[in-house]
Amino acid sequence: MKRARLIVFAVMVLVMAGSVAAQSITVGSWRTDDVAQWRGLIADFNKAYPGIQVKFDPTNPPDYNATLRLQLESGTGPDVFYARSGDVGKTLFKDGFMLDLSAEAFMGKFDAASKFFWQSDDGRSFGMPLFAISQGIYYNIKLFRDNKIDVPKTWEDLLAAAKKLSSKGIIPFANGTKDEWDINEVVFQTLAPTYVGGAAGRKALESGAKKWNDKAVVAVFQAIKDLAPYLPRGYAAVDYNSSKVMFQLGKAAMMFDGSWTIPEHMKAAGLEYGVFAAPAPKGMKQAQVFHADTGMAINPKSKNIAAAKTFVAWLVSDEGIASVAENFTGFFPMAKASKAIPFSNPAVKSFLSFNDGRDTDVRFSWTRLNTGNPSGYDLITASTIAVLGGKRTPQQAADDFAAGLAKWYTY
Amino acid sequence: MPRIRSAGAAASGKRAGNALSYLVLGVWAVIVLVPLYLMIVNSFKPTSEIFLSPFSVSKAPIFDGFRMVFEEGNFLVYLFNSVFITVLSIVGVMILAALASYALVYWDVRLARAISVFFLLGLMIPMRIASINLIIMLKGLGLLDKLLGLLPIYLAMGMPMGIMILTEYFRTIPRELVQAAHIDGAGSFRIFWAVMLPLARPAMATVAIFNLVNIWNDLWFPLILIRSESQRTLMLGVTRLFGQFQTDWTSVLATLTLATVPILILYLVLSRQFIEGLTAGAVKE
Amino acid sequence: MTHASDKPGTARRSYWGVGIYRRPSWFLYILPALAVYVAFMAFPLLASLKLSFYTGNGFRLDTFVGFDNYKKLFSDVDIAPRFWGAFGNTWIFFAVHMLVQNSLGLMFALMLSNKRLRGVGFFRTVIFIPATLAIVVTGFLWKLMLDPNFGPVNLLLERIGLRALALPWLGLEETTLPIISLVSSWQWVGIPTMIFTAALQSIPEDYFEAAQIDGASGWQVIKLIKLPILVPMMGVVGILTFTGNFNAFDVVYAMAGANGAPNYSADILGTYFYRTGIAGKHPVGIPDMGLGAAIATITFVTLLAGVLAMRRLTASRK
Repeated sequence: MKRARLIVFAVMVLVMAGSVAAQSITVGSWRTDDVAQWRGLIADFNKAYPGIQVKFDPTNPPDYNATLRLQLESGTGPDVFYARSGDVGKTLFKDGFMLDLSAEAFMGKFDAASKFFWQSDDGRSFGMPLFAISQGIYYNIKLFRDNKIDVPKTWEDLLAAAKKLSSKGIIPFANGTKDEWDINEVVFQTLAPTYVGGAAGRKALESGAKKWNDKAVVAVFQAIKDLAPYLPRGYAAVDYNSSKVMFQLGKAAMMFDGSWTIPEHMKAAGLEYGVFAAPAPKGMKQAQVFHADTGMAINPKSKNIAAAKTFVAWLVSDEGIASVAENFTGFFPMAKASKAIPFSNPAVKSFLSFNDGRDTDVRFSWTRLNTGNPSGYDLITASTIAVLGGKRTPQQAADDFAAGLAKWYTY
Repeated sequence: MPRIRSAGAAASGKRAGNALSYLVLGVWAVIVLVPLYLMIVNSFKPTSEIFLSPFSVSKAPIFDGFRMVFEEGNFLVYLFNSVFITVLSIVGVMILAALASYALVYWDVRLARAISVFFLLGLMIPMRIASINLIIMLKGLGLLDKLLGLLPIYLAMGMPMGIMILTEYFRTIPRELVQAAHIDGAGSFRIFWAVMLPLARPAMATVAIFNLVNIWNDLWFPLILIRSESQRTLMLGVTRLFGQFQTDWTSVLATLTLATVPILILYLVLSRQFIEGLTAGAVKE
Repeated sequence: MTHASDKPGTARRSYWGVGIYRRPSWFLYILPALAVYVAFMAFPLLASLKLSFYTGNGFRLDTFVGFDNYKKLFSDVDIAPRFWGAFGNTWIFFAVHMLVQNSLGLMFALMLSNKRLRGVGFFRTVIFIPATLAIVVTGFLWKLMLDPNFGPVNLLLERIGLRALALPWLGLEETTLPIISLVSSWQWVGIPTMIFTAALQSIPEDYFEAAQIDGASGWQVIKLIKLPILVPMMGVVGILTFTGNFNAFDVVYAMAGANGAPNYSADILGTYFYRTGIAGKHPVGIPDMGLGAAIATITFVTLLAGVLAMRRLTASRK
């Protein structure tokens, strides 16, 4: 009988979980590691709107896009969800899975450049810009000090530092290729803007003014090749989390990574770390990735569109912006706040300073390269790994990249 | 019998054979147990200690990992969901398979034999192949992204094996018993309920065990059908917790330990019946 | 079932009358199981086969395209290499299980059937432990074990002076798939062990007594008494291994991700099907369900052909 009662109870719980309260919204996200951050943000939101219950429901990053698509197609999508910028978001919008936000008042908080990355080709907004992220090279201050290494100013300095560290038995860069996305997004795409010449250079490639195997693209792959000797032993089996652990434990002195990792490094006991921008080779102008990373989209099939809009609008109110900045260390609110946000974390400040006086751009492959097969993203991953493994020269890698795009890319 | 070697040579050969057996089985036991040992001991160490001395038992064990699992994640939700769907599915498979097997054994028409074969075909075909249509069907039923949506799938998945084991078993039950019950005036359902089911207990246990391992550990169907936090099963939740804990290996290992140890203890306690149940089912295939 | 006296109808008539065995109401007992089985297994399976001739957007597969999906899989410049790669890898994955898992299983069963061996119960329990673990757990655990920089496996290899062998096992194209197959064999070796053990237990005790009186050596007992019993079992184990592994997914997903990294070297039909038909590929994530259905159909046909072929093979050997 006990079991029967348990089952009845279980069914009740299930039914209750299924029938969502009227004023409850779910937020879909690819940030599984931001659970605590969201708890803080939701608490702040509920101070202003106690009647709206917000649930954060993240999916592992590599599964997010697929998961979201399936949820939306099957009508089980979240009410509000993280929207990828560029192609991926555009495709979802085109298929009717995102509400047109162009006319919403909260869109007025953004300049045209910020809005651009969550807009369809005809200029309608499907996502409200939320976060930008920055990328660079983390370094272990103690290891640099012990080995008398200064923060590198040029690419040549960086390689010299790596060589020195390597000779002392310290892994220069913690990055590996097992997870594939990180070598692409945080290494290749951190380097790319400098070599291709920032946003203008990217557009020249996209418009056909330059070929996809232009010497600028070859140069990015050459930089990748330069790094090859300084990755961990067996880097091919090192995944992103192992890389971060190696850096946190002081086994590796540097790591290419994004600003989103700051909270994790903050938790690492005894780690003294700083961050610098990926330096340009001597005589070349440095450009910085400042990536329009996260937008907020609303599910048109949501039963609580009004509550969803209230929440999204609150995110860019002054309290919202302050809460975002305070809870999400390493993410930069994109809305224009009425007063400057007082960032206190030194790594956050460093990341922000990388933008000063430099050309900034989103990730190289984000804007135009992902709508065909093979996607530019996949081509970059494959070519980068091939160059690191010595299977392709930088020139061959760029040629492969161009040949792959030639199959479908139209100017 | 062909020509046999001298007895002395045979005895020394046996001793050497035994030593070799111990060596091989001993090495294998180490290969099986060491990863589990490492998982458990390291879940009580901070990350830095895991890397400095992975093999030793920590002198100052910490419980942060376990605390994190319960405080930060929805581990208990996942656990409850898994227990719920597993128990429900197993009970369902046992009932449906027992009813069908009973009829398949005693219903003496060609159709019954054809249906038996039809069920057995399912043993050879992994259900995953049907996934695309299952998604579409569950969507139509409004069961996509619902824990209960897994139920019909697990029922269908467990049916061929359940029916195979139970029909084999029912065939071994002496006919006289059934006939005696019938002469006493029992109807066919009463015979099933009062005679067949109690006798079939060992076979039912085998069915339960098979489904327990398969359903509890299934990742595929939750992965493609379940998305919401509140509906996740333990295995799906575990992959999600890996994402949350990232570099916090203490918590990752604590998650793994918590996901593994309950079923491990259950297995160790029931290991005799477990293995006998499995061999009983497998051999008759 | 060929002798007339074996037929239930004739044998039982004297006790229970033929009527009750023929009554259509028996069908009601079968109906619930059959309904679930047909609705959620047989129908979706056949319908999935049909979908392989269609294409469309997302869930709406409304355009009939004949064999186009198959043509793509077999000959499209970008798709075919992925498909054939996954197809070939699946066979490798299966072959490793056949060779390693089943040989080990046979060996363990023979050793455990030795009556003079102590601790049989312990070893039998231990051999089966991994089969009770979730593949997610196994995969993650072995990923940690095999980590190139701090994994216990490589630490051990270095300590015993085999630094050269301390490879990034899960990072090299040559080793990733074999290693994952071995991990999976580690997990499932208990199954063939148990099947062979059960077969050995069915040998009547007096065979062994007779052999002992004759002074047969351990090896002779194996060759003359045990192996003849085991040979037919090998067919069963072979089929189980084939059906169990030909559509594997979890272990590769857990250890090499949905892409079967590095460079698709560990990509098998299960992961390729997931990526193509269910999830779509990162970063865009748009599945092609028609193409996925075609992959499923090919898997289905291969399984069916494989099982029939193996049945034939084992039958002719008898």
